[in-house]
Amino acid sequence: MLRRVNAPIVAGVALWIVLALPFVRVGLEARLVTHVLVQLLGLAAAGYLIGIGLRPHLARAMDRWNQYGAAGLALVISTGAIWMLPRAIDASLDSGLVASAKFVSLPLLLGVPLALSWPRFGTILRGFLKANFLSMTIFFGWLYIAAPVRLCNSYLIDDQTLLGTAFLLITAALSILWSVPLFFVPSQPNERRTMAASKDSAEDGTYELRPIH
Amino acid sequence: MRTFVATCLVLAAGLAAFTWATDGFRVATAEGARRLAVAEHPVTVPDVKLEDMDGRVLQLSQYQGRPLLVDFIYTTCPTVCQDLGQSFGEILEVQRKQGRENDIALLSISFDLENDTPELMRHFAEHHGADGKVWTIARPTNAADLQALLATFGVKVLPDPLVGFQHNVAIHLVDSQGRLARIVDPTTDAALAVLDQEVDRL
Repeated sequence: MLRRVNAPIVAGVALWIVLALPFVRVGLEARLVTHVLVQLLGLAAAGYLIGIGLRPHLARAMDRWNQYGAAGLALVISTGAIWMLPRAIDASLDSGLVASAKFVSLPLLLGVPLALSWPRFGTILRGFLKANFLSMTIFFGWLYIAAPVRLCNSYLIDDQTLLGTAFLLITAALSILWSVPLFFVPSQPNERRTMAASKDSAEDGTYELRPIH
Repeated sequence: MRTFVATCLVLAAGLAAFTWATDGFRVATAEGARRLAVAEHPVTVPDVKLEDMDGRVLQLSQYQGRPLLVDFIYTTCPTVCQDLGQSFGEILEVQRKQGRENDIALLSISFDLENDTPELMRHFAEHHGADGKVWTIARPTNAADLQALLATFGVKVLPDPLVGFQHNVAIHLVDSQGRLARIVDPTTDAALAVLDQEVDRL
């Protein structure tokens, strides 16, 4: 039971409602770049906020069903893969059913499971996902700029180029945001251990791993 | 264990959904989807009235009995429609050389009802070599018929502030029974290939 007001859930639901308002929807869907980067990402963010609010309430169920965030990751990747298809973007404009699916699946099947699973991912998995996300956005950016044909029948080719440029800018921004902090973190213990081992092997020709105290 | 089961179930459902969304990993775009859909299930095209470049009125059903290639254009288009016109000109040339220009037909339909008068359509025809017999330029006589045609052929026309319109460009084969049966890239070779197939089938 929620005893007090759960701020992330309230914020998430509010964002969800705002994005679903008819005039907001029409305005964002008028251009490809706002459709993808504001509406689709906004819907996922709304779900992410709700997921943050749900974390304490679902901790036990997540321990059982979503250890290390594996099931959640599978759900996030599946949902994301479908909404990356240009065909899905077009269909969400032409079919009310697909539009409803968009407004339900992005928050509930992408945002919420990502928020519930992210804290459960190990460091290596997080790094792997970030690196893959960057290679994906740079690929999409390049594809949308270079494609000689329109990938969405509902949008002008200039819109597609603009989205591509936006993807490249996002890649650049995230690369900086995610990599710069790494230069300011002290060396990891296992890194020092490896350095010590290589020093030993240089001295007496044997390789032995010694923990440092 | 429960996490493993949950993960496998989610992956299976995700794979099924993705397979459905891409028609079995075959299409990623709406354009690809419409081409695949008509190739598998040809659609009967609406029998609308068209006004041609000489001001004559014709019915789309008149073309039944021979394969018909259709493209959608507007005559003031600076780029792709002129390329389409050139392709249709080349296709007509090839058919004449093979002596079978009477077995097939070409039709360029204008979706710019406001501006494309018979005079402008005739100008486009003269420029690209449309003779008005094998290859005709025509426009629907009202907006409702135009919408019915665009919906059946899966053509989306967007107003573009710079050049007038943007639209998905393709060449459409309507078979001898009046069904939209193939949609291909707007090149002479692609169109000739499906036309030959259709003529051979008859």
